[in-house]
Amino acid sequence: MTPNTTPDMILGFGVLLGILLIYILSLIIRLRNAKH
Amino acid sequence: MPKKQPLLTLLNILSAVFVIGALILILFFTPEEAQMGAVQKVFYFHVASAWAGMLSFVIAAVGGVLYLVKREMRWDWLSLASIEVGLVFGLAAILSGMIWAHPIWNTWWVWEPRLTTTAIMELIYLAYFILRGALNTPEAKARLGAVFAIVSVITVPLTFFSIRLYRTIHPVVFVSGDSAAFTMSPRMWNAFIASLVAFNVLLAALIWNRTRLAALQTHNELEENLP
Repeated sequence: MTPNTTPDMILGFGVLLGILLIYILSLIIRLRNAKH
Repeated sequence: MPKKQPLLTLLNILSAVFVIGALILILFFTPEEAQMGAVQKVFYFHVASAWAGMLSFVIAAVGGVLYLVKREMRWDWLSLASIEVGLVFGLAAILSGMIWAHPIWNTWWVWEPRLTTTAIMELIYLAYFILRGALNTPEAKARLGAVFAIVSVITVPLTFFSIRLYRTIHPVVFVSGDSAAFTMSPRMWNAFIASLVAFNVLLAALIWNRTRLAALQTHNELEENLP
């Protein structure tokens, strides 16, 4: 029987994309600061 | 001030579209793996992220060589950008792998070859920033940073081939004719290729943006130092 690992999948994608989004946000902020 | 190029804006938009597209493909158009269930779907972005991280470190080494040959600061900016972006992708790969391992291996972490070499690789590249922080002049940062980027790239093939060289419980994807390899259906391959393409485009966009940031910061520092 296939185990229910949907919560693990959501956590996995959440953490992976969360890290990338935080980095992108930090880049946007640093670029804005560097322009002024 | 260095101007933003239209191609960079296009790359930024493309990377967002590709990543969202790949995510939709994974969530709604790939079958659920019979033994692992839904958590197997993390694999597509996990591998793409690890690939982007390792490619990033190779780009950093190339930037290091070009800096030492040409002595132009833009190659140092590329190296710095690639290592920072590579660390982010590496961290994303490690954490998503741990979340996959928890229900599948019944543990968050095992000290086996692939995980250990990846952890060592991340820590070595983290030390790059400690090295730069300890130096005073931009030239010293660039010169020693370039040497560091070139020497530490040895950890990339070590990590990539660790699952082929040593006995390991980590699944192997890029292999032919091995019964131990993780096998994928055509729809799984489509999602996997889409994820790789999306993360490579995202990698290019992030490195370009970070390089531009380094250029802007250097420009600002030079302006501040003007009499």
